[in-house]
Amino acid sequence: MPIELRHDPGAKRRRLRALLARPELLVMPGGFSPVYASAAERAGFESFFVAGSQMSGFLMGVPDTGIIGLRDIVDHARHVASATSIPILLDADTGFGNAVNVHYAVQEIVRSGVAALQLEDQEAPKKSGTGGGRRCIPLDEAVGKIRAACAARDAIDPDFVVCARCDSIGAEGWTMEETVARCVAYAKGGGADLVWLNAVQTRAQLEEVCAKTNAPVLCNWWSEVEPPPTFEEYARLGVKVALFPTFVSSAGLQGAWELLNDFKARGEAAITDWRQRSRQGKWGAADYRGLTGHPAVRQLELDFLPQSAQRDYASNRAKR
Amino acid sequence: MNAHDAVREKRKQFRRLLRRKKLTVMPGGFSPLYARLAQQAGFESFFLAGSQLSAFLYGVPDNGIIGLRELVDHSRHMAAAADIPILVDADTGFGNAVNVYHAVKEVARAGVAAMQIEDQEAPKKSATNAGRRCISAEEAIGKIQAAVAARDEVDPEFSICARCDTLGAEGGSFKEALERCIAYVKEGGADFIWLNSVETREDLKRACARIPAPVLTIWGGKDAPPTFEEQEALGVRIALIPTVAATVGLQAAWEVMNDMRARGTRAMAEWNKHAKENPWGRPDMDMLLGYSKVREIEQRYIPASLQRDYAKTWGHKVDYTTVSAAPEKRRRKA
Repeated sequence: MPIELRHDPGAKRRRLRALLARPELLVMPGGFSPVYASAAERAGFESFFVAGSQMSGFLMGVPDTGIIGLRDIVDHARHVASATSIPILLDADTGFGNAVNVHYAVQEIVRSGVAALQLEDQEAPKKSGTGGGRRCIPLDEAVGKIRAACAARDAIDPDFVVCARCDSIGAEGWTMEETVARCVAYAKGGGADLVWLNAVQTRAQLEEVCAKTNAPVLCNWWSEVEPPPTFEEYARLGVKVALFPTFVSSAGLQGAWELLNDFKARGEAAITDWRQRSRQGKWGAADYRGLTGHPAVRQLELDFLPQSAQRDYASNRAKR
Repeated sequence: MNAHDAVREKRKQFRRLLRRKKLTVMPGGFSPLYARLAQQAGFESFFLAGSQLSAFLYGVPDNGIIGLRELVDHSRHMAAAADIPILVDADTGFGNAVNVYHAVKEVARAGVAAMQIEDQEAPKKSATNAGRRCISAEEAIGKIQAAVAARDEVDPEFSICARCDTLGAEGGSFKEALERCIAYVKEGGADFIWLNSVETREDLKRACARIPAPVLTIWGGKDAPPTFEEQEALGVRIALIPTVAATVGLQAAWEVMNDMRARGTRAMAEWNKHAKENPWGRPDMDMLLGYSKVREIEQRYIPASLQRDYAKTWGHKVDYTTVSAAPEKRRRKA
């Protein structure tokens, strides 16, 4: 019997490469949990991003300033990867040090089963990519880190995808010329499979980087100067991946915030109303049991437990 | 207040909630963020559900797959982030009375206020599922006694909750469940009882009257569950909504992703508008995560030459603003 796609990291990595090679735009939602990644897959998305900010926030309750380490992200990445059949892009921040640290970080992450990782050119300890106070390491050091990442990757799985993130827009001493030079170098000298242009402000910046960079470009739009492009516009500007890096967990947090307040104000009527709204909504209630693999437990019991250890499901009750 | 005193204060606060006649409504889920959200919305305590820890961290069913280490690790982060007391779901205590003894010490050291141990056979089943089987009352009482002994060694203020999963389990009856609950308090020494899956108001009233400790309950009946006022009148001390924060978060993510698949950036613009305009606005991310603390630490402890330039660098608001009205002139791709 062939193994399931979700247990085949190689196939998911080749799938991501195919998605990056095709003409159409790839729309990638992001968050943190295996459950959110599975829900994204069910909703029809072809890939998912695991954001460092959201791992920091939802797992440890700390800000996105390089508090979490390699072990935290590898542990979590393994669970997200094994829960999904779509390729996962993992946020590996600065790679937790210099090119030497990057070498070890990349190999650990490849072994976790995700399809791709992202390394940013910020000085460690990092800042949130959408916050102020960012500072970048020199271009040549950043290129060296990408080269180290690709070499570490090639030694154990050439299909794994390395994404170089350029955080220089908005960082200390920023110029557009430098940003373009960095993106070009990360692809050409560094060998990155994908270049992430962070904090894009204008369509003109995006178009310039897409035209000059010899690799697919990923964009997360956070401009307060221009309204965000539509998916059609992204494609026309030359973008390959439109990333919404925290959208799923932000929506989850907002949903919880509103219901907790409503619940505090109105008591159980708030929950009853919410339940009804969820069921009657266009997409129905999220399939929590399916998303977390509960049905497989019964099968495992039937297949592998002796008769005497089988549980009695017929005469005892289930709530749902 | 030092960290140790803060932990003890939260445990004392939790005991005050247990003692008072007024019903405590306790929402639950997982994540330090959800615990802080609950605190900010005005709740007095929060529950860490094993099912949600299994699901959102590991993507696995609630069947005893996660272990002590996962639970302790996450509990520590939640306790550190919240000023309200946290009740932790420790499943079966990860084995027999010996495992329970060690588990209680580990969990207490994580800084939470209370933990719950259930009387199911390990590996456990979800409390809201069929297929549950309970260990003997005698063995369960021994596990509670071991928990209380371990607790007394590390912090007598820490609360032990004995959960009775007998209703709906193999061969379970209300009579047996009630006898177990009484024994868990009288012989085991539990500080409070979680009676799962109660089916009628009469049973609930009888249980609250007979059990010599505060009772927490989750409704399992076919009729509509009692309102909070009814529960208080029936004698319930804690009304637990064990997965609410996580479940609502999942539902919101499910709807918004489908909407985004269907309608693209317009869906996100509308979601954003809704997040801004709803009666409670957005959660205060600085309060939730403490970014201003980072700035303070930098200013205080990092030499001037290494200070970051916050004046000239810039960040962004989490805001998808409006749907694109593309600028008039757009250069063609070279």
